[in-house]
Amino acid sequence: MSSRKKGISRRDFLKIMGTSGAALGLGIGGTAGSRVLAEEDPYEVLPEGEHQYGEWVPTGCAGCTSWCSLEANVVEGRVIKVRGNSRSQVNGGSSCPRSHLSLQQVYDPDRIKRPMKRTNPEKGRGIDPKFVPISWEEAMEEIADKVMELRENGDSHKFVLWRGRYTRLRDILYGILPEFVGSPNKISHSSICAEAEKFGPYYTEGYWNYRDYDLLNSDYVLIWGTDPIQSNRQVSLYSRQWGDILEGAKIATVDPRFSRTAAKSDEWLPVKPGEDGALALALAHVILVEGLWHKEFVGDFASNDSQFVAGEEVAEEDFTENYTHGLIKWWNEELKDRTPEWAAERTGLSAEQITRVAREFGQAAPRACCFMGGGGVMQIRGGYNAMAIHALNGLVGSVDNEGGAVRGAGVPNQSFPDHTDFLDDISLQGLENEMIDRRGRLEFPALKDGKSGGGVVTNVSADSIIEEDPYEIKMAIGYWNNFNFSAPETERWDEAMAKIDFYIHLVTHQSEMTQFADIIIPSTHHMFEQWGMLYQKGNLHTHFWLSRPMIPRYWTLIEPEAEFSWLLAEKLADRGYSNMLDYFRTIVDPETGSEPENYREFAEYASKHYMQPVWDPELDSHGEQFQGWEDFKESGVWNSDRFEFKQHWGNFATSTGNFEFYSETLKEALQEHGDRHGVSVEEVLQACKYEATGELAYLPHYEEPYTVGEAEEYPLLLVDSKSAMNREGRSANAGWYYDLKTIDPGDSPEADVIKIHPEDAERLGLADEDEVRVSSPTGEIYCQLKVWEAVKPGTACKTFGMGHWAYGRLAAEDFEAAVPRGANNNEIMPAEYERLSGSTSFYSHTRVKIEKA
Amino acid sequence: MDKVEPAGMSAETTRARRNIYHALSAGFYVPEADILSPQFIQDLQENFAALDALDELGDSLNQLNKAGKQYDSLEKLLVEYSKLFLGPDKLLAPPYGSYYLNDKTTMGASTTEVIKIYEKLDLELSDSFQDLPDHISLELYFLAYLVEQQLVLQQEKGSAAGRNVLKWQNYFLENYLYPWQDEFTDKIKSNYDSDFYSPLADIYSCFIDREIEYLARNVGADSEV
Repeated sequence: MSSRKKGISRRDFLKIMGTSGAALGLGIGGTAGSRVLAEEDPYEVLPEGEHQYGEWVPTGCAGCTSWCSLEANVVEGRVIKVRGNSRSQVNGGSSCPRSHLSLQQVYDPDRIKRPMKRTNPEKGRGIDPKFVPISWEEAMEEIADKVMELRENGDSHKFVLWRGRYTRLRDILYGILPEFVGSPNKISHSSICAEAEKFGPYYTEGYWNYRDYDLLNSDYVLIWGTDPIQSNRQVSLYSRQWGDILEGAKIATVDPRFSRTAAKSDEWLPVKPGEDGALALALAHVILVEGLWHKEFVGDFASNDSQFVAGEEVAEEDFTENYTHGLIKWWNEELKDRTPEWAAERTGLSAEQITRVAREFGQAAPRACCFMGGGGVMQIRGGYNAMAIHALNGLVGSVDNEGGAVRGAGVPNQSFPDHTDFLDDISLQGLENEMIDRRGRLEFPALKDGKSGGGVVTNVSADSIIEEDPYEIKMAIGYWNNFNFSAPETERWDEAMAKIDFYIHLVTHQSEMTQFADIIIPSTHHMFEQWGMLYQKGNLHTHFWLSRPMIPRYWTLIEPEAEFSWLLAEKLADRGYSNMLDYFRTIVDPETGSEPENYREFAEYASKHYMQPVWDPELDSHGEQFQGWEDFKESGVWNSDRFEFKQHWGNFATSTGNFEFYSETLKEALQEHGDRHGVSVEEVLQACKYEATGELAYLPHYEEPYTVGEAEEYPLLLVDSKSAMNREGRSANAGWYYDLKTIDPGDSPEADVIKIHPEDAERLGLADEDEVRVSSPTGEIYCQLKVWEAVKPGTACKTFGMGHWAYGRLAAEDFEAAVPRGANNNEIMPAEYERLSGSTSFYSHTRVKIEKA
Repeated sequence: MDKVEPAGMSAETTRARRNIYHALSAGFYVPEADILSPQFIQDLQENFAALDALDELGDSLNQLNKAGKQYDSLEKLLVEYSKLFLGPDKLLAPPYGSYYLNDKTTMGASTTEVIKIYEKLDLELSDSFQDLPDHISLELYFLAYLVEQQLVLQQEKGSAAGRNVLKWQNYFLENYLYPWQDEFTDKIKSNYDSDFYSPLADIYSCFIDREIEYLARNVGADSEV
């Protein structure tokens, strides 16, 4: 706002406190401030360096899927520190290293500060978008016009909403908004996150989710393809408890690289990438041969004389199972030949170590816990690995049991009111179209929750856009995501995003994906500037936390999930399409019944609505009870009652109700998917790059690892790991990211490194600190070599996190020239999938060659 | 005894200083069309002439004048402004005091101090200002306000009151703007080749140097003759 006087318009940047904003000008000498100016000496009245005590305000962190409950210290409107919220039963007063980088994120000068518009229509990596600031009005009107245009032209389905990280307010932007546009395309990031590791638990015990692990009560902990004190999951909790866990249990870690967790374990099993299935099957073999399975859970032979003998089949009728299904079939079809010696040849581990670990794990039954992460299973043929690894918990009876792999409690959330009655014919017709991630096609079963096409195949949506199959995408909204960096074979995303006519990105920072945006919407930081909530399990509890606005929004930011949706709904209503706004008005303040009048109220009411069962004393939360909204806000976190063991024994959500070593549940799902396409289960598996035939399709079994590239040309297998400082790819513009880089074992504070074993370095004629070119069949990157003993020979380990060519002054080496700082693993990783779950493959399939640059 | 202002503290000088602060404030904020108008340059020229500074600033003003005619659209200037001061790219010349005074972050301790000064003087940010409290535009705007208050208070309460405001100007300038002036203007000139912002940086730099000298000369100066 400006007023006219002689010369240029007068800007009105300051006003007298408490006024409506009258311009400061001549003739206002009578204010309180004027008296101070006239009479007081600034050198005396302005205190210097006076220490101020702040207020600890509850919040939560979505920097990884640990989702810790935190508190932020706010001093005079500035947040200066974070710590764990001691009221949480999950992470308690602990916080992980990366949580603190949130301070450098929120106050990063490179943040997006106001809506921006692209002025250069040409799009591509290295092409300057020439963004200019625009008003909110202009931004939202352009977006609304485009939505209306799609709807009027019968193209509403040619819209896609991509979701990266989120709060539970996602149900509005991700869950509801696309339907009002008239598109089925709600594409989450989940399959570049985890899905394959949920596949194993689902097709054994009917649970498609992350597990909790009762490590404090375990006697033997087998950490598999994950790094819980470094990257995921419950890093804050385990960073605090690890010493106690080690006191009570023997810990063995399966990982091709010497991870931080491996360094804090009793035993390290550096398995050859992709051979996790072989190891798991051999462990199962030994447990059975040595009679160490948990009889109460699994059952036993009718005769004491019977036993499992390597290479010999067992009559099914000789064994009576209790809470499991198909053990003898598993043994006869698969396990009887999976000896430690057989596995040693494939895994690169000794038969002695395999036998010892299996024996000690079995002897600890049922307090033996196998903690599975993505490393061993987010592989092209990793679905059956996930079943085999999780089945170890079944064998030792630690599933749903003390000291074992358990679940979280139900969460007392309240869904938003049904919106389907508000959808018009355009929306309903649009929703009939196939989704652009091709889920449910023959080659992408994505069998989440047992349903053909039940899950997402995030990374394939780039191909769909490029190939216009199933159709062209004309408009997209992405939020809290950056697939041009975080999804393998990134070049495809560059090509796909350049092809989209109108892209809106809702983010805190300019990222690689933002470079393709037509409009950028500046997002609030989820921890400090907005309402939001997430729940997570750990330490035998589930917690559910609330974040809230606690610092001023000086920049023109909006919360992307609820606030943005409201603003768009208003603009659509202005254009005669008020359905979404009419629906949003039904989400009222649960305390007063008031309808929201603006976007800020909408976000707050939606938060109160979603969490009402938590804070409303009239409702049973199945856990901690509060006296009302204000009472809950003071705490900021709800905790469930402690997990009760064995509540699922006998009623697992599988086809048989039992823990299935032979998965009738998978059999039904695969057959349904095959029937849908008129093919056999074997043909389904072939389309998904699996080799199994016959009954093996329903059993955890060995599959030869699938790799891309020939071993002669690309002699090393890439091992990707995640930096402890990664806030999911969003913290690379924080200075502390680099200051603390040595927190990642073997990494350097000076350079982004790829680590290989000294034997390989010598063979390849490479030396420590050489600048190298790392190539794969799909790309090449440049970084520095680190020769390091703690890497399995034949592998090359590189931490994921650096390699941004956008994202700000620290993240990119040369932002203007799109030169990355370090190298992004995803540029050399072929886009491959564990297709049964829809998961992207990140591990074991990428072969690389390393040469001096 | 009549109070006479020292040489250099005349109303004309004070008004010129105020106008320059205001023009620079507008110049470093998101540009509106009037920034490219001849009037913007003309105002600066007139006010610097009143300060007898044209010899020193003539070249920069001429360059700015030339630049104003070269930009065929506001959009081109907006692109340059975004690169330098707004983003969303890497900011080439962060316009925040805290960036320089508090280890390359925004909203550092110095920002709080600036906010407290505004509050002490019963001021707050207008809704039309959509950036941080220690953004250079706001700080320059605040200084324009202080200079204006010097005029107002001098008129309403006498020269002692007016002179006291000089102390506030000095305090603010020496603590919150002057310490990062060189680094800021270096960044503008060396990180991006802008026909408009490069001479503006020179003008800003020169003016602040003059202000520091001016205030050193006049704060506490005996004005009674």
